[in-house]
Amino acid sequence: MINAFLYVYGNLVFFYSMSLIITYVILIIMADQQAKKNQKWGKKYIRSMIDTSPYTLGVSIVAGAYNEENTIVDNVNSLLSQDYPNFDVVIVNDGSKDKTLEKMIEAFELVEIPYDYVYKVHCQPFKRLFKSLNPKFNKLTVVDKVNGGTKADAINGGLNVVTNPFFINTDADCLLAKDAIYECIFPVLQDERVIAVSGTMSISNGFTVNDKGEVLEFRPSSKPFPLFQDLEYKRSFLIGKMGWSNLNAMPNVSGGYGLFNTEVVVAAGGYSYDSFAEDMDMLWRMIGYCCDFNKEYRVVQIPHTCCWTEGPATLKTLNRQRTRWGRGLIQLIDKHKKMAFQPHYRQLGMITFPYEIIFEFIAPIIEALGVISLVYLIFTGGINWGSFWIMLCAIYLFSVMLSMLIIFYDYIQGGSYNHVKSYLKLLVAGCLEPFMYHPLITFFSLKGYGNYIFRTRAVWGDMQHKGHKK
Amino acid sequence: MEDIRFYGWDTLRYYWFVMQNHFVGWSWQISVAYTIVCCCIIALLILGLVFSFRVYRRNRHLKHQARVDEKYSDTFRQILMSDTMSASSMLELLKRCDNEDEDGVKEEAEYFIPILVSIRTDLTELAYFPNLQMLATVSGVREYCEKSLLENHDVFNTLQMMAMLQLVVSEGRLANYVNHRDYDTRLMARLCFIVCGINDPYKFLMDDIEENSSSMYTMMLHYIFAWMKAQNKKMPNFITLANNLKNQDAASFMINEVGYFGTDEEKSEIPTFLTSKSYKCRESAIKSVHLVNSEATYDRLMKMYPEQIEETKREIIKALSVPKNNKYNEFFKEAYENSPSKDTKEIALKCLYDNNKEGRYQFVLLQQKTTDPELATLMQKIDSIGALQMIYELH
Repeated sequence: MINAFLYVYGNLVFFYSMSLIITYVILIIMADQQAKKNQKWGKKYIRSMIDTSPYTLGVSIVAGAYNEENTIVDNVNSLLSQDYPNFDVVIVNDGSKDKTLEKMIEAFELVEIPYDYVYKVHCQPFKRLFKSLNPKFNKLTVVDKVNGGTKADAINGGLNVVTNPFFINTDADCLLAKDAIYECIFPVLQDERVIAVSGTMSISNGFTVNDKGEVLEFRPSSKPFPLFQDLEYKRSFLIGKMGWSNLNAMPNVSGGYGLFNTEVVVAAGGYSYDSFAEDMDMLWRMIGYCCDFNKEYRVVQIPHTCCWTEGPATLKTLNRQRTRWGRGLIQLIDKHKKMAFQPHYRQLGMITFPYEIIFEFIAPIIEALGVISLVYLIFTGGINWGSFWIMLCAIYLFSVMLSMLIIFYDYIQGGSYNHVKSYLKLLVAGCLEPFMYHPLITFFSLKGYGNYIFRTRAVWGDMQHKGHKK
Repeated sequence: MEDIRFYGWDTLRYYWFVMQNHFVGWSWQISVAYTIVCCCIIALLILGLVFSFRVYRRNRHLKHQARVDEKYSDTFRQILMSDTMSASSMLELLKRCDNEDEDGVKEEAEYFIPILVSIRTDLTELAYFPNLQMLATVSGVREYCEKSLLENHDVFNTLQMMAMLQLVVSEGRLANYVNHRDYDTRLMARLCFIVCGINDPYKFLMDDIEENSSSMYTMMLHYIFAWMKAQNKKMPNFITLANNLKNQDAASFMINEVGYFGTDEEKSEIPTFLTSKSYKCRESAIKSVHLVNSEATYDRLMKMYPEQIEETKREIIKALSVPKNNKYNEFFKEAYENSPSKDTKEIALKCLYDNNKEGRYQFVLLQQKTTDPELATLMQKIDSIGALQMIYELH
């Protein structure tokens, strides 16, 4: 009986792995096409148009901050140093318990001003609203609100202050590229159907920044977890999302950096405060809104690295983050199950949703069962070592090839790093990742599923940021 | 076992045979996995080689570009910033930069383009460079562009660069591209045609804007129109275009452009669009009135105010705040008192506050009179932001 089960399971896993490999190959081709479309336009040309035009669209940068006293000043400086001619920055202090607000008040010469804002979307009440006395920081608005416990609530708070037609959702611990807004507004200028643009994100743990929040030296982290995450992010953005973007089937616009149409976000009800994958949930509801009201939409991924975020450097923080993501995924699938396999929801219902279930949700379960079967077969002597090694080699080499491709691709796109040595470091990480990092991620995802199923009390938790080297 | 020695191709064929038959007799799943292993190894080798080659090529290109930048960048800037300069003085300046090679000036044309583009990006506030066309000829950039168009090499980038620098090439060079099958190439070629065309530069404009009124295209057109205006070149007839376009976004863009680049005659025709059926055209007309600051039209705006939707009403209020005239204070006050929309109230109060001393006084009176706590907070907010604005101005 067990042997029959293992035989069926083995074949099932084989087909599953092959379908995953085929999907990746298709995504690589799609991503390449999408990148070519994007590369076609000269950045300087677009920049000149935007700089000189009276029709330039206004963009607000909204960032939630919770206990970020170590990095907040650098990061707000980084947000304010954008080159774009028509933008403002809204920082939402989501009831921080440390000195996040005090540090901002001191660094940016903030004064309280009376606030009168319509609560377009639900969030915890505002306590105070600040503007700067210094004209250097006149684009900055700081909202101090009651802690809502989630990032969604903080962004909704910012959304209630936003007056521009587009806003960027980012985190206060993120460093933005100076030309980040130019890059992500371009798809909107080209095609008015675009409701959201996702910029590529990367990990900033190894960076050196100056007092203005400008990055002086781009280097990958020397610690293993941020390095693995760097590669993981690159793979996800440059192959996964670029490929999906070509099919207009983007599963997610990351909460770390994404440009959204304010009107559509508000119409879709704003960020869902009870969601653990609030970014993905928001996008799915935006698409749902467009499909329900028969509106055309496009969601675009751009290959340019717009944003760097400090990734979890310790196992504890990585565990917390990935468990939350795992929990968020299962919650999202449960919440939006009515969209699955529904042609009414266009690519989301027919491509993205099935993919998320088959290759994102089920993958950790299959992997865990695989490990259990392997241990069983080793102990019972039922393993065929020849088959085992060749299968392992196939999957491992494909993974390394994918990492190599990503590194090459990143270099062609302009390169996240200045030195070839940095890329070699990433390549080494790519070789070690399947054994050292991936099993942990699988475990944390399963833990997240378990937490959701057994209704364990959810804790958002704060990630202690160490800040960057100066 | 007897030794067999292979030579030449046979050695390769032997290994190919070993590879092909390595897992013969195993299940097909193993063969598939083996194929994946082989493909991945080959792909890794190819990627490694291509990556190394790209790194080498990019470094070489960057070094060369940096050398050319260092040699010519300042001279180019000096030439472009000067009002007038003869071709011989330009050539003399360029020759002076090029110490090593007599023919260098012509050979470096490809590397000159990024320098010109960079200067253009830095100095976007200048509508045009008087010496650019001459410099392009002397430095060989024009010849390089014409050659690229003729040989169908890197056409889209060349057209973009020409549109950005407003580089004039002979109209005939664009002939192959103004009806190109690729939409972007066609659009860019037609933009360049506006710059280069002699007989009828706006031949394609109406069709193009009817088909594509995206923000990017309108921005591109605005950029070209600014250059045409600065060069005193013939502008299109915006009013005629606005009247004939079916696409309302395109028509409203044309009405807006009247405000920026229209002739006096065209500007006097803006009020005809204030009663347009399309609210987009009405809004654009109000924005144009705002730009032109046409006092004669303001009374008409006040009259049409009550019949408009809230968005248009807000545009009217903004337009009336431009002349900073006392006589509109009462209008702002009424707009504030009568509007059901909080956004309109806010705009009206802001305009009243910023209008002039009298307006500010009226604002204070309204502030004292108001009993609604929400409106009181709104007024406090406007007052605080106004005060901050004054502090910024003092700095």
